[in-house]
Amino acid sequence: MNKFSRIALGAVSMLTAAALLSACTQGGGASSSSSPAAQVAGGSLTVVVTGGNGTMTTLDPIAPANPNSDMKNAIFGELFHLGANAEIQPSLATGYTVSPDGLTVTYKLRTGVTFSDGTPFNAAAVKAAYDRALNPANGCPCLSTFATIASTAAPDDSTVVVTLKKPSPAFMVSISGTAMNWIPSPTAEAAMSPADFGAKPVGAGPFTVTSFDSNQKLVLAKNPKYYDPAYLDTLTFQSIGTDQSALASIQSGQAQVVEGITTFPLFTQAKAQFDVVPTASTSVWLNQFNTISGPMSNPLARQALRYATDAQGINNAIFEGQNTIANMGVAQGLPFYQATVPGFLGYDLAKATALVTQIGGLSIEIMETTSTVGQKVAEALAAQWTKAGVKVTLVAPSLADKQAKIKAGSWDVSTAFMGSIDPAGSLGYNSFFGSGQPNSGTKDATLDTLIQSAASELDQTKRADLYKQVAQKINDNSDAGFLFSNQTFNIVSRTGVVNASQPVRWMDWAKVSVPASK
Amino acid sequence: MTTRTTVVASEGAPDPMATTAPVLEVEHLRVVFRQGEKTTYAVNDVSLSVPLGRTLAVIGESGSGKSVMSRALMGLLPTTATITGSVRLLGQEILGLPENDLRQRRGKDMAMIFQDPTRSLNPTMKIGTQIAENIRIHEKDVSRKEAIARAVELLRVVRVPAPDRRVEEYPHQLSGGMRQRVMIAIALACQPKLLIADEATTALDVTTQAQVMDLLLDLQQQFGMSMILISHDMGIAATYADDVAVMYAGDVVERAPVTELFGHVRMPYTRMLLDAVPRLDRPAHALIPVTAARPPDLSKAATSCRFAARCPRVQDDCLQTHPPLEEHEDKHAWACFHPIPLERTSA
Amino acid sequence: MATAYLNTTAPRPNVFVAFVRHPVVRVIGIRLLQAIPILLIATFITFALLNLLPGSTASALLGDGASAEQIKALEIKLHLDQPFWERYWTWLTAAFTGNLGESLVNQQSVTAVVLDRLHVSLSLIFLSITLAVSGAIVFATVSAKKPGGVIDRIFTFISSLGQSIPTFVFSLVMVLVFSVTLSLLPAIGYVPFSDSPIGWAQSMILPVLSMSFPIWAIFCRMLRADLIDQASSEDYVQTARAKGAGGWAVLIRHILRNSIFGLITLVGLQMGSLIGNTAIVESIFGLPGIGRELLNAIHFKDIPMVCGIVVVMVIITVLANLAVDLLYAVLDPRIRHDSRS
Repeated sequence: MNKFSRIALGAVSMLTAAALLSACTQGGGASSSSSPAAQVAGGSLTVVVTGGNGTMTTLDPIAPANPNSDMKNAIFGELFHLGANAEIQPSLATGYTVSPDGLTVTYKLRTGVTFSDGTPFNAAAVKAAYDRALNPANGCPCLSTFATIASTAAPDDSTVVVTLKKPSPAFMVSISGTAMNWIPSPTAEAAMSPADFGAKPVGAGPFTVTSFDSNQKLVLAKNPKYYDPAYLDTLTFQSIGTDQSALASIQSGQAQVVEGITTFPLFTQAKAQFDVVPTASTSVWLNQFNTISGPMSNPLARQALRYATDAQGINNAIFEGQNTIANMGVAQGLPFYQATVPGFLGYDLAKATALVTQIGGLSIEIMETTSTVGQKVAEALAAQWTKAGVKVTLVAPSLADKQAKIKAGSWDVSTAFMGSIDPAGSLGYNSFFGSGQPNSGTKDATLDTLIQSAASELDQTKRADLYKQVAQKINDNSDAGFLFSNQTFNIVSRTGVVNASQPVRWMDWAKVSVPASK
Repeated sequence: MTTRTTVVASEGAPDPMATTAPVLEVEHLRVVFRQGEKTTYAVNDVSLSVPLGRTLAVIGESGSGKSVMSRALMGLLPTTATITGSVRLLGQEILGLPENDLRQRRGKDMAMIFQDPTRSLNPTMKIGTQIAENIRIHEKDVSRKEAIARAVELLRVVRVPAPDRRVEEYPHQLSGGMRQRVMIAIALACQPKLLIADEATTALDVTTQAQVMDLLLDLQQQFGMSMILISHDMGIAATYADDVAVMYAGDVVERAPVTELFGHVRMPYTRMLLDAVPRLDRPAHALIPVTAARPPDLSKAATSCRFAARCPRVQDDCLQTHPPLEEHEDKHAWACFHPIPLERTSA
Repeated sequence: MATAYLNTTAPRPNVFVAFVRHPVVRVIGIRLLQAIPILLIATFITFALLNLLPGSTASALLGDGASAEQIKALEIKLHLDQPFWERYWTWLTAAFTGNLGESLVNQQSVTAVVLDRLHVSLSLIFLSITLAVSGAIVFATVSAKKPGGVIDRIFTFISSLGQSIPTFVFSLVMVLVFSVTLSLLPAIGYVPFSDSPIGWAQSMILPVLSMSFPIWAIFCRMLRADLIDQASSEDYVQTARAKGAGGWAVLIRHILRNSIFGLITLVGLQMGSLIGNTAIVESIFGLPGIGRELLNAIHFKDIPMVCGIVVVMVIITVLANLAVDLLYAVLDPRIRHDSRS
């Protein structure tokens, strides 16, 4: 039997290899530089979503378990669209103004727009949506981010006034991908049960829901009333459980786009045949240190681990070199990003070993994230640090346990990712480096002041300078060692889809088309 | 015994085959089993012949090779068996025939009844279907319906009550004796010339045994068959057979017409078997003289008399040479260097 | 008066008693009664285990960026702050009225979701068993015709492959061969029968093949061994051969008829693992069945949904085993006649 199973496995791997090989050679001839084809209306497109992105439990804008934001963007449209470099662009709202004191934000809405059920899209609808999202009883995950909102008002049909409790320069970029940006039809919301509304909500976006089978399939149809009609007649999101079968679906021509693959070796295989498009990143990987107590309170120990870390090596081994090396807690392409920050320590094993010897040895525990990728990163780090003479153990606590350990100070190193579109956002600097914050291992009054003033500074130039100082301070003090950007990648067919290689955070499906059928 | 005489008498009836050629002629039949390293000489140089309408009883202990021999005749041995010699059925050599040709003869020219009627019938098949199957294998143009009708007739012939109903029943609904009658009906389905009954009544109680045996003899007469009764029971041989062959360790050690054999036993082993039969003229619970010994070793070809170890008349030459079966007197053959001297008192 | 009373009413209870005492009715009754404690134990263990698992529904729903207060607020909203036995009792009392509760994730009725998806899993299971059993009968019979022969060795090798390859791997190989390389069948997705029978068939072929291959292998090996064993040891086989029946006739008409009972028992025993496999196969092929839904529900610790699906899976297993028992009674004359008398 043992012999048999070995033969069997051998045969399977040979079969698989043969199939893979033929699959690769099939599309090898296609040109890799897709010339910008003219976009035509009509046709249908299938997007396969896998992994965490494949989870589509409910389409309600305020529901905690979100599907991919691009699905909700397609159904509800957006008040403001966020460009690849986080520039705010008009969409269902045509513009906004911020009062000089930073406490009042006024939206101007597009006029003549209706929801797909005929309800007028107006300021009252926006106010209703905001009030619903901010009602604590509804449990919207947006609640903590937008606790700064004091009130909303609809003085006329096309004007919404949002009053803030304190100045928030990050407010406008933060509404992207939240219930603050997705406005559902208030009449539909009132008429339907929560379950029904979650399955077939009504929005004013470029598409309407034809059918929704939670965690399986979402079929959308073009909304002809949308102000900038989409090209596609139908857009289907198919959720799939494994990355391998997701790739197979595009290889077999069933799907044109695959979102959410995290099995990085598959990208190497996919590159021969398809475009692998990185989505704009909002977070970076980092090793965070407990600078308050334990072995990592010694700055030399922190420096030793930073020198011992070969971020590019891990990037190559796990992420196929797809990620960008990070020197700070802001992802590439976002405001306040700097490619290099003074005080960044690169890989130097000799220095690391010397430092470990100097402090008389080092024995630490890494808290890894519970995701597969997070575990791989932590394992690679452990291997590298062991080379420098550090004794490493790995633990994978749940988020709640992790935050409990941080609170108790019983931890050494946490390998995770941080960052939001604006550094003042929910997973920004304050959460990771502010004194007493849930993810923070730092207690530094100077840094706190810097972070707080950067978060409320309304002048963009001054703000940029403050964030520069924050990044340098963290590097100088070795509060953390930054690794690389945390990115997802879409696999896009070269021939079956036009303009799906947008370097954006969330695909704008209204802008995507399929080639005219001959 | 009285019934026997009439049957023997009727055997003299004008059937040309009876005098011309025997139904079955076996010459120098040997069966050797080879399985891996192990070799078993199960049947050694057996020669027999069964004339038409006559009954040959093959008697022996278990392991004497009588059942292997009967299966060799039917061609039912597994592929591990090597069979040599000659078996002529109705004058035609059947040993070495391709399986496909041989199976045309099985169930048609020769049929067999097995020891355990409970296990020998297919538990999941109706009685009627099992009988009809035999007919339909050999007579292709018979419809299913006709075959079942004939099955009903056959059940009537083997004296199964309410045959119309029985054909629709399954084996587990019948008693042991009835099942054996069904087996006989299957065997008789195509009116074979030779019927081999391998311990056909051993599993039945004594009354049923007698009924089944009487039925067999009646049918033999009715159908004009020849019969081989395989048994360990000397009583059956004495009551129902015309000729008797005694087997021991794969050899036929004595062969004679029934009266001759029981009148003048020559082979010490036959004597022993006869003495082992409980008799009314012995005191109850009297010890039966049986010579205990290890069973003979069949893994080597015989170089001495295989019975020597248990034989009261053993002498040196018995241990050096294997005694051949020779017809020392008219129709009476034995394989012994030192046979029991003729005694005139009846067994 | 008394006689008249007896005469008119006596047959009524007799019919009822005869019905209740009828072995088939009794088998069904006992099986269904047995299901009740199984259901109670299974759902309680599910509740307790999901409760013991690290992480919470709220933090799974809110994602990595959630704050402790957000998690707390959502837990209160979902009643997750109550002790689990209280939640179990609430769920159980509702379940007895046929209401399996609401999903914690999207508030959909669990009963509705399960009923909506059940037919996909059931057709997957039914088709897989049918294919595995019929395939096993053909392959095992051909194998047993000449044990140790070339065909037997090839089939034995294939069936040992079936037993050693994980379903996951086999499914992907099927997809690579039939969808990616040959472009014959869809790699993923499900087409409802009512939309297009052909599309439905195409979307079911690979999942059914993937599901049935490992159980086919088990059935095949067992059946082959039993056929060979019966051929060499059973007296009725000798009887059949003595009739002059040919090798195929003996094998198919006689031995297979008797070996089929062992196979039926094995089908019943394999039901559990088969239902478990639906989760893998439905995930890989994107079929909207209850197995996939179960995985998603476990991910979110959506306890009402997990329990609802567990209930349905237990019922399917119990009913399948009941069907096996009844099939036995129908096919095996020995049992059939005992029950009649």
